[in-house]
Amino acid sequence: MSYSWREIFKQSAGILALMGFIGVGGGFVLESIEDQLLDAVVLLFLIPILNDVGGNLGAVLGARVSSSLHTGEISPSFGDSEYKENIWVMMALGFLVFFLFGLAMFTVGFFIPLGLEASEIFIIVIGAGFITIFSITLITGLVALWAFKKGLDPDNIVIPVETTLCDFIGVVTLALMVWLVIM
Amino acid sequence: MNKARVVKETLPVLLLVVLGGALAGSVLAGMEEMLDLIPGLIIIVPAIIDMRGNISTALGSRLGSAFHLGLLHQGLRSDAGKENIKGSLALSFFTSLLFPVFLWLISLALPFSIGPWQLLTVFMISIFTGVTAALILITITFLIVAGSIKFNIDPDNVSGPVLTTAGDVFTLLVMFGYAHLFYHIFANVFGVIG
Repeated sequence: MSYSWREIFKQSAGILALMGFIGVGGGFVLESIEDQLLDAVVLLFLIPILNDVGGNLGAVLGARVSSSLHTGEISPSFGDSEYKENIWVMMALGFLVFFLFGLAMFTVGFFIPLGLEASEIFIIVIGAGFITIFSITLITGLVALWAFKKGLDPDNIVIPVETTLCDFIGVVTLALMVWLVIM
Repeated sequence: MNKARVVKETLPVLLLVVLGGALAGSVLAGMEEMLDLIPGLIIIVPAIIDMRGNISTALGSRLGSAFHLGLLHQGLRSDAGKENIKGSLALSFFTSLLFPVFLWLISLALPFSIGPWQLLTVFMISIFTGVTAALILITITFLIVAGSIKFNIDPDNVSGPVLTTAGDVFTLLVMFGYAHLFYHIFANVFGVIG
């Protein structure tokens, strides 16, 4: 494997442009529904955290799986045990982060009025966090292996795709949890 | 796979990301006046930040692979390092050109219009922010990768979270500076916006 800037550009430019366009369009959509979906400020505060933690966890998983595919530590098959282990461990790590964060928010919500019951906030954080992490780790794993099998460098593809999708999944799961808990 | 190592190296960085997000949020809050003055800017701010994050995180991810493949033996000045920098710079320039075009395309479908001078202002801010922030973040990427190798940390476990968070903060600061500069030029020197 050797690197050439032209090859990096060729593989990345299209996917970055597409994800950038989705990002700009998504920005419009989110801006227009945010007010209706979210009345409590605390929920608005959760959106970037869901997006960032999910996106970063996906980036770590993507970087790890890509490196292992390049070195041959992971064989390009969905049944590879090292491959599956990477996905499960990252998923567990994400669950742990949101469990800790949920506990922290519960404690804050218990003492400071946030517009919602502390227990409601806890359930929303855990629910939205777990669904986001579950989907983003699976998507990242699938896209990385798919790209590698296609002869592309997964390092160029996985991160733009998973961060863009994570932004959507984070907001949608948050809206879903708010709807489930409050309605 | 060394599970304990992943948790030990990645968990603290993920928790730092939560704090970094709060810092970036406060920089954005400080930009409020500029965002009011330059219509259209607010719409591309998240997209530009995400794009910077994507380009530098992918660079970190490729350098992580290059390290594991043993291609970074002669340090980061090796061919793999140079080609990766050139690739990231080319992508930064290309995507910075695209955002004003996207903004214009999407504005066509919307009830409000963005004038040509406003678009030009956003265009200049986008290009200059994209390239300046790219130079800063490429440097940070190299420092993170070299630093983690030096301290025997797997760069794949840390570079992503550190880079997206640093990316948010630096991109916003650089954009803030250029927004002031170009607003001043277009509003006060040429008198075409504002």
